[in-house]
Amino acid sequence: MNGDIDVLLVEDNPDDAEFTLRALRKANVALRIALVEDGVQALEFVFGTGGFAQRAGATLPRVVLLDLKLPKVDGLEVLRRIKGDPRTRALPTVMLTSSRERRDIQACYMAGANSYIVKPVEYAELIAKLGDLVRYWLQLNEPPPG
Amino acid sequence: MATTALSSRRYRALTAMDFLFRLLKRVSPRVAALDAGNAELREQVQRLEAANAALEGTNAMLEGRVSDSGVEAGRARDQLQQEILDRRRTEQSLRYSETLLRRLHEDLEDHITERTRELTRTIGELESFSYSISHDLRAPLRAINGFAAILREEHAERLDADGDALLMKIETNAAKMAQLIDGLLDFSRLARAESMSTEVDMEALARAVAAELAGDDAGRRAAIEIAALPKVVGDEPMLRQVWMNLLSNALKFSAPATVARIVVSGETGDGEAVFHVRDNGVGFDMAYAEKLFGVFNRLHRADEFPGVGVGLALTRRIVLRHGGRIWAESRPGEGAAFHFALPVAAGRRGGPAA
Repeated sequence: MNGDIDVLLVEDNPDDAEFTLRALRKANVALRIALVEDGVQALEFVFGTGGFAQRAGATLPRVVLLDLKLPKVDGLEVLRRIKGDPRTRALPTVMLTSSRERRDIQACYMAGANSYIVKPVEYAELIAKLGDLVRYWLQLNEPPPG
Repeated sequence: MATTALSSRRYRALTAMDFLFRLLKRVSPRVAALDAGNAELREQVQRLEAANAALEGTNAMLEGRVSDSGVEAGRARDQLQQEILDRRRTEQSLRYSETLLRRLHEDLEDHITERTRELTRTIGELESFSYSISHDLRAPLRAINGFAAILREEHAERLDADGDALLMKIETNAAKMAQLIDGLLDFSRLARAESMSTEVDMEALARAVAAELAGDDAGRRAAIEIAALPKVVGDEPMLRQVWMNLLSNALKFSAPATVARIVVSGETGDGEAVFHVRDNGVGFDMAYAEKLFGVFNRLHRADEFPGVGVGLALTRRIVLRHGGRIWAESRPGEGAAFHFALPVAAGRRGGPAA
């Protein structure tokens, strides 16, 4: 019933990816995390196409952490495709971005984002926020029936 | 019965006489008036006859002049034609001016539309500029902070005291850069913020800000006295920021004073409300008074007083946006006085921020 992946992290900046991975592991060492680096890969992973064709029919990750500013297809477009497809509409998708811009926040919620987290500049804060996030989405929250 | 008949006949005769008498009385003034009118008419006839004679004389004279008049009439006709021509020309030039004016007006409107478009574009660029600052500058900063934190956490045992001190410097500088970026963002956000004008109770606002600051370390050691302040029309959140910046500045630069004393006062006069914030802090040299309000300009070393130098620049921007002015006076060691004036009636005037 549980899939093979807990968290799909979509992050193009390798430094940010490293911090986020470390912070996620700090929250839960056993977490199974997949990392993709652009919007196209994110969509292929979720829909089991292209480079991730072997994932076709695989159970969806428990939560997607999605950066906004991504190469090729940006985070907002990835979000729209996930929320626009009946197969993936229920997939909890959390925006994880450095943008605190009103229009970004608004656009993400309008597109169906489940949550919007601003990446803090302080590493300690990032660890605290991601710890809460892991506890909420992977322990507290009841996932959509797969 | 007979007596009655007689008397009734007499009565009728009397009544008829009475009627005649009254009629006569009424008619006679009219007859008199008619007589007078007759005399007047006769006089008029006489006058007319005289006039007629005179006219006849004139006629004869005119007949003699007819030949001359023909020439004059021709001249008058020419003059009239000239006048008509002139008038037509005037009309034409008037119509031309009208067209010109209309075209100028259209040009002006086009110009305004174009400038508005340019301005909108500039605002858009500013917006994407601040957007890219928030994204692009914060990312490397997060990396510096993050790696420094990991170094401290996971490699602490391999760091000696010197290494630890160096790491601390990296962290302090990263924190300062974060403040600078936030300050810049605040600044550009203000430039494109829509302002909402309402009546603002400046005294209540200043008191609320003072109460908030009283919770801070510096605030606890200071006495902030606030006198009665005039009300103004303006954007309350922005004006709140003005008080926040001026009062926290006063507190900050009063820190070395044994008893920090800050006095806030204000009055209305000459179409503006003027406010004063005076402190007994370190003050500043008037030679640098102009530099006070520039972005990232500081008059003190960062290790003397914290801050990145955005507060007063922001304060000035807000005051200018309200159509007001701000200035400061001081002497080193003798405290500082900051003054700002806001127009009283024209608080809605949201001129372009300088």
